[in-house]
Amino acid sequence: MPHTPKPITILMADDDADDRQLAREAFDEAKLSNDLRFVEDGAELLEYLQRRGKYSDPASSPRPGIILLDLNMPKVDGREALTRIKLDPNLKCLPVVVLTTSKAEIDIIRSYNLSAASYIAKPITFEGLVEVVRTLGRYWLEIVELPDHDYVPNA
Amino acid sequence: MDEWLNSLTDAMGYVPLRTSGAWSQDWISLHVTSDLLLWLAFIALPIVLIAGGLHPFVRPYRRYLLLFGSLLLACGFTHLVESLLFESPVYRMLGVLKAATAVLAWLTVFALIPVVPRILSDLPRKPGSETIEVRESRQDRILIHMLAVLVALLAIVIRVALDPIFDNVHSYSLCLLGVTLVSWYGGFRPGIVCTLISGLLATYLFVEPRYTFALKDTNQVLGFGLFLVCSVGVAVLGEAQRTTRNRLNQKIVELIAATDTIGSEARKSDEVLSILDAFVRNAPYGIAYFDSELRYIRVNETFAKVNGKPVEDHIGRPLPEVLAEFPEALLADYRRVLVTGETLTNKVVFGRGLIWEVTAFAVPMGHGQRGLGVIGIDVTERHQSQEQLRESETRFRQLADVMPQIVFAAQPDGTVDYFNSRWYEYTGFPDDAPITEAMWRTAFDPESYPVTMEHWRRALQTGEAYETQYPLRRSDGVWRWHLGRALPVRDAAGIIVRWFGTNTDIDDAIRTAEALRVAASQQLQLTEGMPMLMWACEPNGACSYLSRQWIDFTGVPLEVQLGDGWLAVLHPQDHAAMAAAWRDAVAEVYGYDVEYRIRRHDGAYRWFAVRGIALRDEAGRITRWYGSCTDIDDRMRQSETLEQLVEERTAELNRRNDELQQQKIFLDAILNNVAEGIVACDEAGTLKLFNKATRRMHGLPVEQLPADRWPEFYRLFESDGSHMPVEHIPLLRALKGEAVSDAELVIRGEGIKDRYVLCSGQRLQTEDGRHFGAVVSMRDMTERREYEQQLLLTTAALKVSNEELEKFAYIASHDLQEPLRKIQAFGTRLADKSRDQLGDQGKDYLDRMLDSAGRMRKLIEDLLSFSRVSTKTIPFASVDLNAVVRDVLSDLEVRIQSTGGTVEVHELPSVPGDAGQQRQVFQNLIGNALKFTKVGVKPLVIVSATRFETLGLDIDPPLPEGKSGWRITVADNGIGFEKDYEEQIFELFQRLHSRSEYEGTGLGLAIVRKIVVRHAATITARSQKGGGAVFVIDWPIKTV
Repeated sequence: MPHTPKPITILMADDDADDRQLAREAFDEAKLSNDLRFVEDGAELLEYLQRRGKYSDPASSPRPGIILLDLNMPKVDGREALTRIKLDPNLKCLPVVVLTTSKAEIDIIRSYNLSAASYIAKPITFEGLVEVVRTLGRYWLEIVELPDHDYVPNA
Repeated sequence: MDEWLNSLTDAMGYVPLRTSGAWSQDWISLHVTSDLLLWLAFIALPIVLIAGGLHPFVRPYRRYLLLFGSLLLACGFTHLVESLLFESPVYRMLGVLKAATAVLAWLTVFALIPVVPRILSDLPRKPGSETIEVRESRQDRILIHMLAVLVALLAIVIRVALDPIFDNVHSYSLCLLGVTLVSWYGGFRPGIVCTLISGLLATYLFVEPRYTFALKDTNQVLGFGLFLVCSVGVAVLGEAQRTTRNRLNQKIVELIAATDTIGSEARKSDEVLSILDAFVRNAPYGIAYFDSELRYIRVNETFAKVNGKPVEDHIGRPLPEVLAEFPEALLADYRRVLVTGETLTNKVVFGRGLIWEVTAFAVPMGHGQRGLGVIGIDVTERHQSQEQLRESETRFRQLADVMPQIVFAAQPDGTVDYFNSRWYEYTGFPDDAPITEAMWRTAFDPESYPVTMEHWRRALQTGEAYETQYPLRRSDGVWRWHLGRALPVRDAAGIIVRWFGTNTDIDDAIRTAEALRVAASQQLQLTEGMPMLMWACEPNGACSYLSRQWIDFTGVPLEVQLGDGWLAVLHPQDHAAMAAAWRDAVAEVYGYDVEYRIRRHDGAYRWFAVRGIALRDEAGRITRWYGSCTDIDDRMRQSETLEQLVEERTAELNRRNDELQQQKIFLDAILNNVAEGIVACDEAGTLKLFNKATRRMHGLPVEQLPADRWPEFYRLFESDGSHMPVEHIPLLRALKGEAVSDAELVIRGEGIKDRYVLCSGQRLQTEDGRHFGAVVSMRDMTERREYEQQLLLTTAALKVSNEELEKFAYIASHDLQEPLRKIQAFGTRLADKSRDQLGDQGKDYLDRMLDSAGRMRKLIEDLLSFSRVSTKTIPFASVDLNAVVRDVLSDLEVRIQSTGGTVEVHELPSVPGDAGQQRQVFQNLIGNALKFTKVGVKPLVIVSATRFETLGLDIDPPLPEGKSGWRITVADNGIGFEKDYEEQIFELFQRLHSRSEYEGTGLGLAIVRKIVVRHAATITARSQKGGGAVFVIDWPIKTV
């Protein structure tokens, strides 16, 4: 099936509202026009990805092409969520970019071990954040080929 | 009588011859000398005769010799007296003497006449001269001729003497007489010689004219011619007579010889006959001679005696008549002999209890007649003895077979004819084989056989007992020595009839004897060879043997020292005591074990240890003393030195003993005062030693217990409290050879707390590897263990708290930073978005707010960093400081460029450490150096490193003692700081400047120091206000 570029939904999981706010503003500054969705913790993230609960409707909850994941979240934190995502055969192929305040080496290693695609420590300054987002966009959305979820391999 | 004798010597008027006439002295001497010589000769001759007459052959004729001798003596004395006449005219004596001599002479003549022929015939004839030769020798012929001449001369002389009577007639008469005489005895030739000489001389002397050879007239010629004819005729006749006489003499001599022979033969035959008669008469055999009618012609006494009749009764009577009971058979035999002429030999006749061996033979008597000769030998005894001999032989053989020796018997000539059964057993010869020399010789050794046979032959010859030794071969080929002995057996007459002999097996004896001899000689060699002086004494104490060593040593000959003489070579001082000791020993009072001095041949005395042993027989009596003397002189002399040495040694030993005692006390003190417990056991595993500490630990003393009871008794357990198996007990492990080190052991206490000990020990062994047990030292670790356990707990707690702290720090910083970030983020947004609306003051407030937030952020970061320094547990690795500084410089790139500074980095070493932390160190130090710069001066930072060793001892800051390592310096040309603050600046939150002058949290150097200290290094700062600063890190490195 020919690959038709579709606008990619970016799903971000972060429990901090401020960070969510900043993120949206950074995206605006970076002039990324992608559909940016937010979930507040790991559980919601999984619900969303698994089309459960309020996220059952695929139209209102489009499958993201990339996930930005904060590690420290209540209920189900990012690490757990990452684990589960990578265990789910449907969700496994989703690239997950960890975006977190922690610079702890252990978090970095664990994240990569859990097959996170990248690990980004949240910049301190806003400009930094904007730069990161811009770079993310360029890299993940323009350079990188994302897998097509509708693709079904010939059985 | 006397008167007559006297008258003999009377001179009677006669005058000595000397005085009469014309006797010259010469003639007197001649007469006297001749007479005296004659006298002496006539004495010598009788002596010679008598001496010769002593010859036994002449004995029968001695009286004639005496007679003749006396005649000669008488003649001699006549001559003597004649010589005396010259001095003393003893004519009467002379006359008497002459008369006596004349008588004696004619007596001799008459006595000798019958005897001389016999004497002459008896004279021993020369051998080979059986025929009597009467041939005249050449000498005789010459003698006759000379005699002829003498006679002729004599006739002339007599005629001259008779000339006054005859005058011119009868000139040749005496000559003719002489010729006749000569012819009678000499034959023709001497007669002619005499004729011629006498005739010529007579003619010359007596026929006129005298003293001429001329013959005047016919008468004279006739007379001479007649004389010649007659002389010749007489000579011829004389010759004829002589020849006849010679022949007659010859015949007579032969006849005499023959007669003699016959006579002697007759005498001999007479003698023979008489001998024969004597023989026959005396023969121990019976001899009888019969004629053809068996009449006794002759019989000897033996037969006659046997027959019981005198000899005369036998003669002429026939045998059967004389011996009535004569066996018919024998008579028949006799008659047969007479008829046939054969000889009947060895006929044994029994009669009258006697046994006779009779031989009868025919004797031809002439005329075809035969006589019978009978010889009979009385063999009764012989028979009997033969019987006896046979009997004894049988008995002997029986005996011989029983005897264990080999017995043989031989004939008198040496021929062996009997061996007993033992012989056959021994030699293996078949006992039915005939006994020959060749056979029994094979049992003899060929080498010694000739000698043996020589002995045998000699014994046979001399009849002496035979004894010799030789080897005999046994049936299995083994040679064994035998003693051969033989003795002769003689009969009544002393003649050897038999030899009996034995061969006794002496092989063992010989071997034993040989062995004994060898042993004896060896023993003698031994005693002679031994360095000790050997002696032997008889039971009575007299010395009977001294070894050569003794003799050589003393230099006194053996003979002198035998018996008691040996006492003399002893030292005078020892003499009495030793003599007494010897006496006692001999008397069996004491044994003999003494010491005394013996004088050496050079006079020096040496001490000897003497030991005597008594040899006893079965009854316990001493048969001999044997002893030896050993030279102990050196030893004796040394004994004094030795005693001295002993004293010294004893003193030294005592001293050593004291020392050892002291040592022991010291060691005991050590043992009992050490804190460790020491336990030792011996090689057998028996507990030997508990020091005081051990006793305290166990609360029990050393017990003799087997090892498997130790855990139970001494309450030994493993460190975890479990039961300790016996093999784990450290002492036993050490005993087995294990080098036990820090083995854990718990001694459970009763009423006291358990003691936890660490045991170390090993096997005890000497320098040369001998094992004699094991030792273990027990270090009481109870307290320390408690401390350790306490420490562990503390550490664990600490660790927990540390972790909590870190976690806290982390979370704190993280969570603290969160709002700060927000502040900064939103603040920036606000500054961006609402810049225009804020106004300047607003912006200023906002900037200050953001600035504070930023500072807080930095502080929190630094705090976090500080707390992380010790909690990070990355192990040290070798870090190349050059790389670290390069990283730091790249990080500080911006600052370096912005300040326009230079950082000079010299060669830096690699040091063990944490790379990240070291980066922090250099980042802070170099960062500071770039921060605290002088205004208008381009900052210069020099980073260098030097080894401790290359720096001098007086360097400032001083080097850490006793270590080697690197001194790393970071020097700058910045503003520096007052010396007083050199220490202070490393404190937490210490700032020397306000925030407006230089930014910073005050934590940088604190972090640096914390990191440096963690690396076991030291950091010091040196600076002056306005003169830059030097930060010195001394990094000790363990020498590899």
